[in-house]
Amino acid sequence: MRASAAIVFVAFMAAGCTRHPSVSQPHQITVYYCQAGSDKLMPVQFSIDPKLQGSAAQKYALNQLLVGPTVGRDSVVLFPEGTQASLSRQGKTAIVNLTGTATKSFQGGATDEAAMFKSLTYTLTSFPDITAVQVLVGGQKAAALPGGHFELDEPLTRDTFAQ
Amino acid sequence: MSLPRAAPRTLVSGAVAALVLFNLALLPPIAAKAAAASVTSAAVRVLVSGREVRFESAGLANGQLVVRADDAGLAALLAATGARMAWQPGTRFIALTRADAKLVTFTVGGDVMSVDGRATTIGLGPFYYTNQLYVPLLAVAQALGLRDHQFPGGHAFVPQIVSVQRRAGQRRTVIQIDGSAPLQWRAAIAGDAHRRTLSIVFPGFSSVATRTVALGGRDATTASVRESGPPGYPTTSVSIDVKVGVKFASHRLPQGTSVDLVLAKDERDLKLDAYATSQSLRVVAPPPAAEAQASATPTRTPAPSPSPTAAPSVTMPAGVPTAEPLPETTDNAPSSGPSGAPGASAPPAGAPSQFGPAVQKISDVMVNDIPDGSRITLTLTGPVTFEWHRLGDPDNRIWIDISAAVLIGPARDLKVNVPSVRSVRVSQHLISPNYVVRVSIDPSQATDVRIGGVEGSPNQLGIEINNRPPDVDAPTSGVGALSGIQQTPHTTPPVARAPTQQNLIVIDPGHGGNDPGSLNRQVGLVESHITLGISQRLRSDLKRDGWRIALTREGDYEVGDPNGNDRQELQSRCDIANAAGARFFISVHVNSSVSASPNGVSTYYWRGADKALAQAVQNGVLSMGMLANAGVLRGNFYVIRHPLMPAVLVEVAYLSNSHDAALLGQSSFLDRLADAIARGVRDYAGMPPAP
Repeated sequence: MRASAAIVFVAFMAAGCTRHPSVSQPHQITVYYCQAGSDKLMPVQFSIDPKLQGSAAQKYALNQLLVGPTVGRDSVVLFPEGTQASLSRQGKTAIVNLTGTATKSFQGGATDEAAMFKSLTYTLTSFPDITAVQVLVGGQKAAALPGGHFELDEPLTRDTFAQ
Repeated sequence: MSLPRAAPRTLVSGAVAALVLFNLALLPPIAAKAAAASVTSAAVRVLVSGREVRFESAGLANGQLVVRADDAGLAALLAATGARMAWQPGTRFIALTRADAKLVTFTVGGDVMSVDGRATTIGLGPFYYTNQLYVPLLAVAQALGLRDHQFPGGHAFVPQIVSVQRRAGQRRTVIQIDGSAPLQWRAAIAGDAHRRTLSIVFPGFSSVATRTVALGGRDATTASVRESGPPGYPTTSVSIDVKVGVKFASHRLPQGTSVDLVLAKDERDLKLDAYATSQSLRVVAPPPAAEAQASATPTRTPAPSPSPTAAPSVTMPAGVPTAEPLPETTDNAPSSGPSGAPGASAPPAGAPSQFGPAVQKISDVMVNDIPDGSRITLTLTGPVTFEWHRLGDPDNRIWIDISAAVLIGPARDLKVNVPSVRSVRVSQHLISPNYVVRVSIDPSQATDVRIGGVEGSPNQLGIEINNRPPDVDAPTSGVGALSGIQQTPHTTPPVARAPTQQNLIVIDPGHGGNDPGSLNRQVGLVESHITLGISQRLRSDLKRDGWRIALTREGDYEVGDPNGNDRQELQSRCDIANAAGARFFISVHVNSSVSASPNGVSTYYWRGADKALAQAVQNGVLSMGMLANAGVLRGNFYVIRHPLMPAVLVEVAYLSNSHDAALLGQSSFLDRLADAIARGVRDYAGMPPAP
């Protein structure tokens, strides 16, 4: 059902792996999925190639977030299937440009939508050089996803989701 | 959230006192021309759009029917046709304006009437008699495009469908229907799988020309205009033969006297760029059986979704926009002159003005309290220049003349929170040779007044009157310009009105129009329909408690500009509450999850201060004992961040959960749900204050 979302920079990763057979210990990143119908985070750790540092590791994490966890997929909220995301940076703010399905009319509820952006924000701000996430929709700043509820005007931080 | 308004910047430059006096000398003398007629009172019945309008001052002068300019009957006639009269004592010009930029002018003592720049001689123009201004009633009705149906003892003024025309379009057919009063209509589609007729019916309207308009044949073949019914209250219907599979949308200004019908095969082509300010309503003809499977549009058909082979008859949803898009808020807008109601907006931004290319309109005049004074805010459609003057002691009067500007609506006398100020008036000072709007301030002692743009709101001019004398070296006159004005797409300016309407609650039915929200295809439920159903029930409940209620939408359409982006759509919902100064904002939604298990009600707030309202609404719904408690939560949602009053978003239940969805399909459950939310409001706020 919810098959893989777009692959972000897989080619880059593959090239990196073949040129540099593992010479050092793998390092870990954390992807925060969020339970459907709630705001409960479900962190999952991934061991990745130590050559994937900085933005490459962040892109890897973003990709894993879109693709979803390997187990328990049905109980977490993912961006709608067919969503693509690209990542750039402006200082300590990550700029995530959503394209594809996410720019079409969103038909989920507010709770799942908030969970989606919470998982995105927690995942990217788990990297020490990212403190905020500015979401763009189809390359543009937007008030919300089309048909959505969640405000995207300002960069999202973990505080955005504080209860 | 605080008011997003910073103090206006003072814009000054030097000037001389001589200019002041010279300017004063130009004030037109009061009715220099002697009255040309005398008036004998006459008993005349007048019906406007089928309703009787009483004229206290009706009389005959030179055999013509005349009424006083301040007669309440004239005001009622103008209101029924969406027109306003601008005139101030002492001036020779009378202007009638309408939202479609129709402009009718008369000269006191003259016998010429100008309608949109074309002059006609009328037997008798406006004149003074016993110090009262009289206007010729039939000429006014004629100028406004009303048909005069005479009957023994009176006149029935009937608004007309003035024209039905086809406009060129690449991928769509646009039919423009113009009327001489704000249009109200019903629409229905009837026919079979091979032939459809879309009927747009205008009750109370006659037609200038009953004829058939060719529509090219791609989306539709013809539109025929017919008038039926009694001549004093006729009905005009426009019947359009549409092709199978064609969808249609209607666009108009909230107070507009024209409607654009758009026919297209592709839903995307239903949008019109020209409508910066409009309401839309959209019905998609159900596709015939053969197309139903392939239809890319998910669920534009009403829920519960009819079988594709059902009789292809769709009528407009309940919320056909009426002449008053927000009747609950228009009748009592605080501190804001007669046109302060949201929706009393100017024609589409960027449309060529009939007043001339550079003439801007002042669509709204507001007064807000500020610390130690008041601020007057004029909302404009474009850049203007102005000059201002302050007389020395003991006169102390101040006036600001805004050049190339037209005041929409009548002159306004404003109340300001500065004891020494006796009066403030905003009026159309001149319409010839130039359009000048004057703001005149009459204080009993020298008063500090500052004028400038409003930071963060480039289309507004702010005038601050402070309860203190001006600085000793303050200039006595100046000129300024308000430039860099952007055309605002919003129907209503996002400005809080103070004081708020303590007994008004705005209810926001989530989604609508091209955004159905969540769907449950198994049970055939659509979120946007459920939210409207709950909101309408909630309105009835709260009205019984004595609250005044405004809904952000009344039917299945997008709020605000149908071509607007999502920001404008969401902001328009907030603007309705902000402009009206409502006490609360309650957004009603239905939840949905990718998982079938989440269920129950949750209520969201953003500001900590709003949590108590959210908790009360949540408790109200939980008291039904039918839905699980999914919690009171803080949520970063647009429609609860941007209202300036306490705002909550209630997700009443999960459409994706079988238990909840079964309940949501029952009308009796929606009744109880609305009762429960109303109970929460009652627990939180008690009964509304006396109006």
